[in-house]
Amino acid sequence: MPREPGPERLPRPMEIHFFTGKGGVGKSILAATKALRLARSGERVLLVELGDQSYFRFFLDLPEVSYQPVHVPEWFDIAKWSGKEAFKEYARHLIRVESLFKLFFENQVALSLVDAAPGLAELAILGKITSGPPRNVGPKIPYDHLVIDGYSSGHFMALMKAPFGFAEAISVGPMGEQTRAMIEVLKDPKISKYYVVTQAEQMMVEESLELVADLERLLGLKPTVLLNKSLEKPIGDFPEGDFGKDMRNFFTDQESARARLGKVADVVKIPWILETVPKQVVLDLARGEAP
Amino acid sequence: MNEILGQARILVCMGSGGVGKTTMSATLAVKAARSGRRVLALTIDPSQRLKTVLGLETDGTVKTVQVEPGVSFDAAVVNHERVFSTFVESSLEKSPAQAKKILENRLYRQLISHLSGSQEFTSLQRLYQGHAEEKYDLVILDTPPAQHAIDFLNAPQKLAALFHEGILKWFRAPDGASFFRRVMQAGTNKAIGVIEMLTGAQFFGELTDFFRNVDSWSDRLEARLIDIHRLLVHPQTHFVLISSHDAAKLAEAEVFAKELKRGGHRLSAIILNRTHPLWIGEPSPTGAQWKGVFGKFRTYYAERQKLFDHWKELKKIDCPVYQIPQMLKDVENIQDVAGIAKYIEGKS
Repeated sequence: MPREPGPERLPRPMEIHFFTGKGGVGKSILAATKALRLARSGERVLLVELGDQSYFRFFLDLPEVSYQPVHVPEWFDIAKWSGKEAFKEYARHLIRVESLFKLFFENQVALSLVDAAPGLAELAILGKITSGPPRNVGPKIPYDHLVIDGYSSGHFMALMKAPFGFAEAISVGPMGEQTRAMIEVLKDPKISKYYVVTQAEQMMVEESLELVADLERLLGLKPTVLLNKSLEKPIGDFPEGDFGKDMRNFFTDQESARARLGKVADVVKIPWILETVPKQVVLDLARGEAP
Repeated sequence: MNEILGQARILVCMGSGGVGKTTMSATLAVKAARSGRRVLALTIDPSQRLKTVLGLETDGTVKTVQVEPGVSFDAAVVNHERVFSTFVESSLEKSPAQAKKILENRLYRQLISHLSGSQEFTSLQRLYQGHAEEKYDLVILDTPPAQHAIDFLNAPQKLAALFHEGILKWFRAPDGASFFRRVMQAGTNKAIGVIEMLTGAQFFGELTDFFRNVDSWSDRLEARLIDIHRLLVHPQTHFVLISSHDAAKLAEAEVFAKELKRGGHRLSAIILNRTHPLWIGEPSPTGAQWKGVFGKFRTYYAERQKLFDHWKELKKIDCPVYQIPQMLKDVENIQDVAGIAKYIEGKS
């Protein structure tokens, strides 16, 4: 029986999910959880690592994670994007002439300049991340979602500020135009989603509050706060001894974290999975209700 | 550890972010100060809480931290901008006008905060300064968080390569002519044209201007990087890795130990933070729900310890490894910091 023609599937812009937070709070784990859940719902997902070393290589037991995405069966696609490679790709796209490109990237002086230009690596990475629709610059990124396992707080803010610095410094030339278009994408709530990962400990909450405020000031967007390692408080009085004391402190912190963070952003509680193998933590979390 | 703290002149604390590096550095400073050594603890980007605990200011002022009667140490935040400016000014003592020109360049400001290697350089430059002052027996440096600890040690080389003669000469224009005309190699000329097209003439102009001025103090910079390297491989310089207990962090520690050794450095101790809670040996509580929570936690920590013991045996780590329990509360005062000291004793 011929199927009724369904409504045309409208082309959607790609969604970009940025994960950041203080070091050691569980950014990578929650980014992987997000990616896995999206992938299981039938979306085309690319998890992107930033920086020089791959964490997911050990995590997913892969021989290598590099610039070109690799598919991990039953998980998602994964890639590692560095500033240098992103810049190289952008240059190749812009220069077009292979011989000129080679001349450029085989020249030590020119290469050192790329290293030297402040913020250029950051700009190249963000350029790559935002290169999908509506900008449509460079090679197509055939995914519905990019999940970015971002840097920790300070480094992440430096990354996000890079295009703003350039847009201010450069009023003419292709780089100026590109940076302004990038900022549009990064500020678009339909495309760019920001997640600040934290735990209930006071120090982490302080840093997260600062980060939420910084992101909001820079982008005009409210990030979602993911309160990792949350526990439901058992019924009954706290037990005796150090365990009781520890639990009392923990639940006091957790309550105060929810209240303080709740004032500035939406807070989603992520349950504490008591598992020693990170992969199992992601599998357990992906099965649950958390985003 | 006491032996190392008794004879080291420099102690570099390394590790990735969020493992409690700054607190551990302060604890090591307390230990050394108690044994009568004059200690300077340098820290990078400390949390607000630790700043309060140690009484530190972000501007880099050296403060004296009183631990207990008769025991104190000096501490300061590394203020990157200040360290870099001081270095530029002292390198260009004879031409303050030129120093001013560099410090006023917009790219200079970006460079301080963005250029890979610059934070590492200023940290090490501050360490060098503290060491050269001779007011201290021991300088402890808490390093900037790096995804991989070894990046820290490679960063100055990257910076050195950048300021190297070979690059700078393309920007020299003593006769006032555009340096483009001075570029003899056609290939470079074209390649630089490409960069200009990519980044815009304005940006490129500023970059050129900056490098032209940088040229005047690059000799001093290179010489200092060599001094710093010498200091880092000196027999009285020790490295301590601060990490946590999970599988990924342990794998990192292993890579780190290998790379340090290859670089000619001494990894003298590994400190694993928050490996187990203090209540791990307590009897289980009685209420059904609490009993369940307690049981789950205990199984979890026991499993982690098993993984760790296995790792230690397998990897044959040849320096002491200390395990610090998870404290009942965050450090709130210097006594809390000092309280951790008892866990960093003996052979491990």
